[in-house]
Amino acid sequence: MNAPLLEVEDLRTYFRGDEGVARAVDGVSFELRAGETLGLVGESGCGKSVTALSILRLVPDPPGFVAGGEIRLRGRDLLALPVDELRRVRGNEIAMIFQEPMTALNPVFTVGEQVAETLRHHRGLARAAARGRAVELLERVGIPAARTRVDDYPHQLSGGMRQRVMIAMAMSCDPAILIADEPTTALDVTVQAQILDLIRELQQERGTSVLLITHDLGVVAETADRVAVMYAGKIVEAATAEELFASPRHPYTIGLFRSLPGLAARGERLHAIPGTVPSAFRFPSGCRFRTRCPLASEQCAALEPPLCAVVGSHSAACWHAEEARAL
Amino acid sequence: MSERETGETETAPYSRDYWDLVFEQLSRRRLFKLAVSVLALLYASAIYAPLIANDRPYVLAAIDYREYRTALRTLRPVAASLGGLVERGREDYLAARPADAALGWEGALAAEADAARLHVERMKRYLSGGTEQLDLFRTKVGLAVDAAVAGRVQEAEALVEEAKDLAKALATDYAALDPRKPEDGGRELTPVRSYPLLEAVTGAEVFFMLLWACLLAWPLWNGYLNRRLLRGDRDRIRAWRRRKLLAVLGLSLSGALLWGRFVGGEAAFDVSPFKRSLTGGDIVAQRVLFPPLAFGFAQTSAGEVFRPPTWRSMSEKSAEGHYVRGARVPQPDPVTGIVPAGTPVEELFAEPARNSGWRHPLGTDSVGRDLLVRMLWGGRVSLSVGLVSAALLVLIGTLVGACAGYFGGWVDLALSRLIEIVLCFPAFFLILMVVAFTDPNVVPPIIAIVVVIALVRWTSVARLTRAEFLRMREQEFTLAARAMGIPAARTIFRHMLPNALGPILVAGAFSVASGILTESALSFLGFGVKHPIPSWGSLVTESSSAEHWWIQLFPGFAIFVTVVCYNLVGDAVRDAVDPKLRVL
Repeated sequence: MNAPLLEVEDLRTYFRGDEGVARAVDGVSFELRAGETLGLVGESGCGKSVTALSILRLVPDPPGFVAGGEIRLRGRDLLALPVDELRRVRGNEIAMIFQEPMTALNPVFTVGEQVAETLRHHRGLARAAARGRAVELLERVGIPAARTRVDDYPHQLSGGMRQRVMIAMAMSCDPAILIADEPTTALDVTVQAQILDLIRELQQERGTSVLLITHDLGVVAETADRVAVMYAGKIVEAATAEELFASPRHPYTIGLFRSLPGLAARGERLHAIPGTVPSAFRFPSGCRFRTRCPLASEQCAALEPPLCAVVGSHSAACWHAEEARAL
Repeated sequence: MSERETGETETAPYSRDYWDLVFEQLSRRRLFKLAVSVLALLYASAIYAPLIANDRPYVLAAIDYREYRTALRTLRPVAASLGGLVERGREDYLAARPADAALGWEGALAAEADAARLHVERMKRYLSGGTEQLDLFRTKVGLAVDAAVAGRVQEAEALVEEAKDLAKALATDYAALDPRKPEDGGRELTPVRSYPLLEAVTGAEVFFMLLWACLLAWPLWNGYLNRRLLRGDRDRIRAWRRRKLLAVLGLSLSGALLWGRFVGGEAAFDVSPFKRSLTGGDIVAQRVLFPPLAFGFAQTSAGEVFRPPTWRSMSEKSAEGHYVRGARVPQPDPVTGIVPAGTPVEELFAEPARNSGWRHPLGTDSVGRDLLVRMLWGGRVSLSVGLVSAALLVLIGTLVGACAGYFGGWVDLALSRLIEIVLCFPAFFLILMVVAFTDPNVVPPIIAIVVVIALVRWTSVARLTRAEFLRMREQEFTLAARAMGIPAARTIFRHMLPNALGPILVAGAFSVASGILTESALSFLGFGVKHPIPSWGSLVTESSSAEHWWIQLFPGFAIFVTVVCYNLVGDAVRDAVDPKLRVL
């Protein structure tokens, strides 16, 4: 494979709060190669979205701040980029789509204007040309009667249609990377599949890399080439999608799989991971999962396990990765 | 299903844009339409006040005997004083004058020559022919001045003597024929046409008059333009919207500039002499046209002090100047039995008759000025103060509030404290103090009032805007705009501000109302516009006696109606610009 497009190295994004500093993202490293889809999976509050926002430096400051690490796009450190250069990266090289299509579109502009604006801003297109291009894009993302829909306001469209508009906006400038932050969570199941198909189609058509952030393992299984599992601000396991689904090595990943309804026999109680996610203000010592882990030992409390290779490109951050296979 | 159907039609049906929807929403509200019509009329009455209520005629084709006679009488003194100058010579003249006097000897001579020319020209306007003697006089004076300047004293003195003799002869030769005493004989004069009212209209006034005319007539020409020129093409109509506005502005502006250049109107606050001269026969008019309300806003009337509205029977006055009915009928002195002498009502040219109901429909004030006329003129001050101060304070408030809400952090902290500090001042006393300490000769009080109102009252708009921006900052469309690489200024003004427009517009409409009230209160206390320019607030102060109810009632009602209309408009606009209430 060629050189990575985006490298995130030891990213630390913290939030100042009343109780001290919340370490929402605490030493996350991953890389994204051209044309691939990386799934970032984890429970709510594990730091997936903050990771995504940190890449575009959209973390609200205050109270959030990036405490350390590097984010390199084709070798350029985004965290050190001046604001006006960063603006050329946003939307142009890295675009983002959001979870809530209801609120992510501006209610006072027509969807056409919103798609056209990005084009006018980054590509310098004239008003009429941008409008024409917006119609094409809306057609491409599967909006019926795009020529009339272009003048509709967001509230006149359904949730799925709005998410398609969001995708059209994000893809308007042919970005190298698309960050999709829970793109299907707020949608109906049938629409979810359509949206995922659309993202995959566009990705294949244009060779875009996708960073797919979700808590839904089903979505990851369907879409991602590689998967990184996050827990409490850290990546605990990373592997190709097949490898991860075939033989998960981290007790947390295994717990996630076992709590999927499809895998449990009918009539049986669903498995649940005991306990709750620890507060980002007070993580336990050593391994952050140890308080909920069936394999926890003294070593887990004393030392934090590093993310190291298990087999090939499969890596896990667990002292008991070998024993976990038996779970 | 409907999506499919629209998708199959070839030509895309017109879908309404933001302003179409806003206008549609507004047009559904009857109260809004009523309020806007009332406001449009109020503004029209203020803008066109000089054309509606004025003591100058639009057109005057007349012979001004007094002007002609004055000019004729002045010819001899001109020749005499020229003779004096020539006789004394430069040295004596300069020695007798203070050192810092503006004119030198040559200047004084030139001034005499100018005076001769001016008076001769003035007389020639009324003469249809036979002006050779007048021209000869002017030439002689000119030659005399030339000779004196060149140092040929004797020649100059001889010419001055000739001019003096000629002036003496002219005084009888060119005497005007008096229409009241035709047996005395004299020259018959021809009327001269002039436009005294229009000459007193300034370029700025013309700008607003044209602008308002275009806006009031908008439904007429807009419909024609859309049907005929744009052939009902919706996209072109939309594209032309801004062009139409610019065209209206350009037309008004160029009209105003042309007016300023060629007519050169100058604002006139004085009482014009036309009506009195016409009444007295000094001016004999062949054709004269006065505005519907032929009173100047500064025209006083000694016989009509605090006269009640003339359509009321209690307002009737006898020829001696006494009230005929009611409590105002003069009572004889209980001791002497003498009835105090009344001041007869003076009926000037073009004014309604003494007891006509149209003479003073809203009564008069403490010096007999017509209240209706003063209200029309006073609306100019009150309405513009309200509008301009509101525009200014919305601008300040929006800027501060948007910055505080969008940037947050220490910017918000600093701006919020600033808002609180400004809020701490008792606003009205601050305004009073600033206006009291402003030199009215440097800064006109009206501008001081507008600026101070804006500088003190912007906090409520700022707090509203800040709250709206804080709310929107958490919404994903703001994050999405930033994620798309839209710059902060554009995000604030293009993406977030339109979403906050509803509350801001309502606050703006309320501030117009409160601006008018503040100006009224200031004028009431005597800090407002300079005498004799009226404003609604200062009109109310003319009398605080319940006996003079019309003084408080009518201007007060005007203020009330304006404030209510602005509140209604604000209400309707808030609903119309709210995207959630927009209906297909």
